[in-house]
Amino acid sequence: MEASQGELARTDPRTGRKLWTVRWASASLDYGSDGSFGGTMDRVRGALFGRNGERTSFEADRAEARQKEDWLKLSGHVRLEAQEPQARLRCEEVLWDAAASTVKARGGVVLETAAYSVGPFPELWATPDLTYFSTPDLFEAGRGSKERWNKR
Amino acid sequence: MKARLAWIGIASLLLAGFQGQKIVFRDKGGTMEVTGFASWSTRRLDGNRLSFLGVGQPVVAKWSRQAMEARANRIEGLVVRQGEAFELVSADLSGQVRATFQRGSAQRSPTTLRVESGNASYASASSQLRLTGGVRLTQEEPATKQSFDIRGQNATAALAPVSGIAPSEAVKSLEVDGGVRFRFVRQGDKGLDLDGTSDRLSYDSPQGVLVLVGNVHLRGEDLFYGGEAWANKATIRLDAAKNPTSVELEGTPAESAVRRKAAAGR
Repeated sequence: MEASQGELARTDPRTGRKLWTVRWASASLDYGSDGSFGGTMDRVRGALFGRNGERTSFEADRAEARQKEDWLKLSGHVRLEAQEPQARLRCEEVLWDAAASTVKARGGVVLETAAYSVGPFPELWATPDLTYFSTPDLFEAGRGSKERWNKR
Repeated sequence: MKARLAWIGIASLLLAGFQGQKIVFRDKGGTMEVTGFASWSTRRLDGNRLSFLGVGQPVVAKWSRQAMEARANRIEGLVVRQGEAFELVSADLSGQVRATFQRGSAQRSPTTLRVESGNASYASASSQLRLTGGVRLTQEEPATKQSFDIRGQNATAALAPVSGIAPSEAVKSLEVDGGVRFRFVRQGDKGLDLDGTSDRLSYDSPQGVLVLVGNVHLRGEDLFYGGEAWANKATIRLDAAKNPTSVELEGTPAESAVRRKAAAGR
């Protein structure tokens, strides 16, 4: 189904916790009979919600989601912005692994705060509030799957 | 098709650009910079403190306010924010550690302490540096034309505070153990060349005392005299200009041989 401007939210069906929201300028979406949805969206903005209540806003050229899967993929001029404390991440692609509450960013990843900047990394993983981040090989056990993003 | 090829070309160039770019951690004040890491992690502990871990071949970290530069295969540290600058609170370094500390004014020939070791830890509150796994410390004090070179297995050094004006020693006190080899040199009119070996060495700059313990062998030369000494313990007292004022030898056997240099007899 082709859709012009719109907005959707994905919640965890077991807990009812909000995982992410997305608004788009144009989209091609498929809806399941149970209300699940997937597809691609262009010129997107939205927010990612961590399991500890963190909220990070984003914008990107495109977004992709699949029915019955919790992840959200952002691509093209991706920008994430955490508010408390303030931090910004920019890169070419982000996979928001909602189940692991982990941002998996790739392609010229730069993270910047009022105090410092670091990058560009080929790949960087982070908590949704961007207060903890690392290259995938050092990402803390318990922060989510250590599986490389490109295996998904 | 042409457009598609063009996009592939642009994407490849961008990817090559990213891969070729040096990854840098830098504070806004430009006083802390870390490079050379292949792996990295950072955790914000609170509004002012940050922990970091870098792994590389080697990781190179600089703190200009603290006049410190360190290289190692792994550096794990804690920094605290002071305005726009991050200052190092503590660090653990491992794998081919090389570090440099400067004291005194950068414009007026600062004193430089260089350390090499297998592993190192540094705590800025106590200005204490612990080195293990084969260590070497060299200090060059251009203002007084003095230098030392000390090697051993392990060392603990208390560093002088970063003053910024007068040149001063970088090391306030030092303990070295394990097959110690040392050499103190002063060039110029009041030349001095003192070297030797011992099991342990301790040096207290404010007190002006150098103590050597265990299998001590001392060999020294100034403009007039040259000599050698063997002892179980040697205590060398120094004046403010680092001239030896007394040498006390203890233990069995304690023997010494002093010779007057030819130049002195003229």
